[in-house]
Amino acid sequence: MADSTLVLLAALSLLVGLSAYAVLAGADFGGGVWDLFASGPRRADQRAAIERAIGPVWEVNHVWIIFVIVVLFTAFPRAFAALCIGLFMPLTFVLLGIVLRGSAFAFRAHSEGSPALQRRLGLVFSVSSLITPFALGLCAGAVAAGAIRPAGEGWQTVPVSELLRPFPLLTGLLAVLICSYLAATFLTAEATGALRADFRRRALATGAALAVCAALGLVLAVDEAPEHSTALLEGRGLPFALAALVLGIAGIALMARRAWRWVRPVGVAFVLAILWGWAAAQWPYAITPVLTFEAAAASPAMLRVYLVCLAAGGVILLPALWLLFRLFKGGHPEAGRRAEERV
Amino acid sequence: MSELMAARAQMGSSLAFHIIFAVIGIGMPLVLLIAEGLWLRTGRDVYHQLARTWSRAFAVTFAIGAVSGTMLSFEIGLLWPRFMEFAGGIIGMPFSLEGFAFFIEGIFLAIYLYGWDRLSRRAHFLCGFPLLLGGFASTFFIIAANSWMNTPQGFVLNAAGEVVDVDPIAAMFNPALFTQYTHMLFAALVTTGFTVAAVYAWGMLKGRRDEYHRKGLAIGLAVAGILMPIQLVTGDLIAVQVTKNQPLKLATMEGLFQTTEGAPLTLFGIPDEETRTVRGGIEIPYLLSLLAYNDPTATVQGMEEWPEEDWPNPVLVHLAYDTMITLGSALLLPGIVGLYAWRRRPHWLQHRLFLWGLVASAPAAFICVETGWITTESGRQPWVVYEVLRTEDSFTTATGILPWFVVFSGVYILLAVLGSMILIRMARRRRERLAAVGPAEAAGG
Ligand code: HDD
Ligand code: HEM
Ligand code: HEM
Repeated sequence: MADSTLVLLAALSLLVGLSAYAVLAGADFGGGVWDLFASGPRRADQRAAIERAIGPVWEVNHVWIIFVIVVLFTAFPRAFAALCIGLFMPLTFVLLGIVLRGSAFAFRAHSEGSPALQRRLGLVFSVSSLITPFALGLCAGAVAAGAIRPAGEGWQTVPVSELLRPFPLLTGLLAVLICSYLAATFLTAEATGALRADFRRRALATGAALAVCAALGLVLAVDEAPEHSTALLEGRGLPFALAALVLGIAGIALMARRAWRWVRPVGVAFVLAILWGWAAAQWPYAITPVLTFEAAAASPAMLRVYLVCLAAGGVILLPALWLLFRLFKGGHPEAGRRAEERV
Repeated sequence: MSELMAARAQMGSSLAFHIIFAVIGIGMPLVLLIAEGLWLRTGRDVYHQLARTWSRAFAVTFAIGAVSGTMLSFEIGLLWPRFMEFAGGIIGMPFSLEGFAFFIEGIFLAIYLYGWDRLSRRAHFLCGFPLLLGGFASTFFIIAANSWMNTPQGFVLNAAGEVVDVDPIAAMFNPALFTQYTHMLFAALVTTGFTVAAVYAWGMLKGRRDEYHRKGLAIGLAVAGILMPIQLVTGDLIAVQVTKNQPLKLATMEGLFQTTEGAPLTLFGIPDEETRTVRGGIEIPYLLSLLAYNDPTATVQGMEEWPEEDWPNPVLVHLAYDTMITLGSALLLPGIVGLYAWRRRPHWLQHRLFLWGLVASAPAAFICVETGWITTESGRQPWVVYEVLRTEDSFTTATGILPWFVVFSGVYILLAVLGSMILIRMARRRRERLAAVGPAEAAGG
């Protein structure tokens, strides 16, 4: 296999991991956001529905970020080092958020009978569910904007003033909205009755906010992330951008017409179109515009072994994942409930 | 505290924290399988209750293990980016395989925990096996990475200091892998066994001497007692391996400054770098030569053979190592006494002294694990990749580590306190429920 094909395949595997993380863990984070903003007469029911939806799967969904990290440093060690040094600060916030989210959620689920403790843990869970996607989105925005720069042999740490520019802040917000939109959509599909109506309203509102922010992001990108916006509007990213536009409108329309069967797949496709558009615009740079994937890659021998491992691992992983989701997300709305009560 | 010191302290404390939950994560599936298997065979509800209770507690410890492990994945890059840049392309393979092992563990844990009533008894039992093997596999892969740091191979450094000719397979199957893996694996199983035994010994000391406690204690003690002798054999193998591959580390572990023919084993005492002697300490003649080379008169190289700037911290490494072998040898006792008592003096098993000994065995086993790791990791200093890359050269250029060290230390303390609180409450609620409804129904709740 040609070396450039190896690099492309490895980069694609990274995108697969990121997509799975965005859709699966993204929805879990969004669940945390809706836990924070639970309101109205069915507040407790909303929280219970969220907990049921996340309970059995969050740990597995969360492994996708570990997958992304190991792929990064196995296949693209130079890019990994650049990200870790350049984005030290926001990545540390990501880390803090992940740790607090996971442990608070697990602790809350297993401390029934202590309502005060559960309330506090719930707050930690939901606030950290907000912080994590925001910080991750900020990182993506900073990379797209070319904020990470080489310094001598190594890399410069991006100063806070540059992280807090409008474009990275907006990409952070976009990430939060994506998660919230996904979660609301999934919960709409999983819930019934009045609860479903609650989540439908939330899905519609975040869908609209997402559309506005995405448009605003494109405008800001022209100035702050020029390479990125060119690639997105004129180059490789354009088909994805158009697909996102169509799918976004379709998703809102389907939701408005209560086409429950379709909202979930269309919502997922919409989010993937955004993510892949971003990835296409990023290519061939791992670190825009100074380090390409090709230059960041490990040796061909390593990439070859890595891809073989990936294939072998996939053969084991996919049936196991299928089993898990069939057991706990088996389509019907009460799927998680009985198991949850019995643990 | 310098930034480098803060980073080393943060890395060390994160690993020291994670290993506690990793150990339970490796060992708990075995204990669960034994209890559930006994339930399937005998149909006795007490085993069902034990498996249920442990699986509920395991949900909490596994979650802490998962988040603390995630912290490590980030920290290894955030604190040592130049190490990962160097090592990622050589030893990345076991890390990516480890990712798959984590998936398998996570998936089957979820099925195991939430599947009690969705699967047939037999299917549920069978789902415990991938969980067990996932833990064994993830240990194997992470140890492969660590043993490579001790005995690096599978690449060539050219004249310009660049890595060429990478052979990921050779890197993974490095000389320290087998001994380190077996020693770690049995350490985890033994430690989990002692932990389970200790929990029920404590309950019995508090007067709860029912069948549930007796069986729980027996399963834990059986696991620990049977595997403990094997653990000492793997300990001997790993010591021989270190002698061969990292002779300076061995000399530091033993506090041996001078190259000596027929070297004695020095237990404890404080190595003094100034005078190059060990103050205090108990000397056992010829034992070191015997252990390291199977020959009481063999010559063992002392630290003086290497330049001082390459020395690890002799006080830390020597004391950590001696703590492990002393406590480790003592941990043979519960198994021996338990076996003897079970055959000849059953009432000993209920004796307060024996129960107190078991209660103490759990922290002792964890101390072995921690001090063993300090031996390995601090004994490798000043290298992060032995004789290839220095720790100070792999450190990040980002600044502001110290405040984060403080924040994350706080997070660990919080996790430890909350986690234990929740486990204790869980046990108390189980007893309350039991008192209210009787054992049969309580098992299901
Ligand atoms: C229950 C736990 C336990 C027990 C009873 C022992 N050990 Fe251990 N030891 C470990 C748990 C451990 C460990 C924490 O798991 C380490 C750290 C790295 C590793 O692979 O295992 C370790 C490391 C370790 C090392 C350092 C390896 C290196 O630097 O690469 C040596 C030489 C020994 N052990 C030797 C022994 C001997 C001779 C023992 C017999 C008394 C012993 N250990 C008992
Ligand atoms: C879980 C058990 C482990 C414990 C308790 C442990 C302990 C430690 C300690 C105490 C240090 C600081 C050493 C010093 O600076 O004096 C350290 C450093 C480090 N460890 Fe480990 N370690 C463990 C496993 C691992 C594994 C499996 C890996 C790799 C895959 C690893 C990678 C590192 C790295 C990269 C450093 C920082 C560089 C250095 O100080 O050499 N550790 N560890
Ligand atoms: C000898 C040292 C280590 C052993 C034996 C070990 C073993 C384990 C085990 C058994 C688990 C499963 C979780 C649980 O049971 O609680 C786990 C989780 C994890 N470990 Fe470690 N680990 C070690 C060191 C490390 C290091 C150095 C890293 C990172 C560089 C790491 C990263 C992780 C991650 C990311 C998880 C979470 C996986 C999940 O979400 O399921 N571990 N580890």
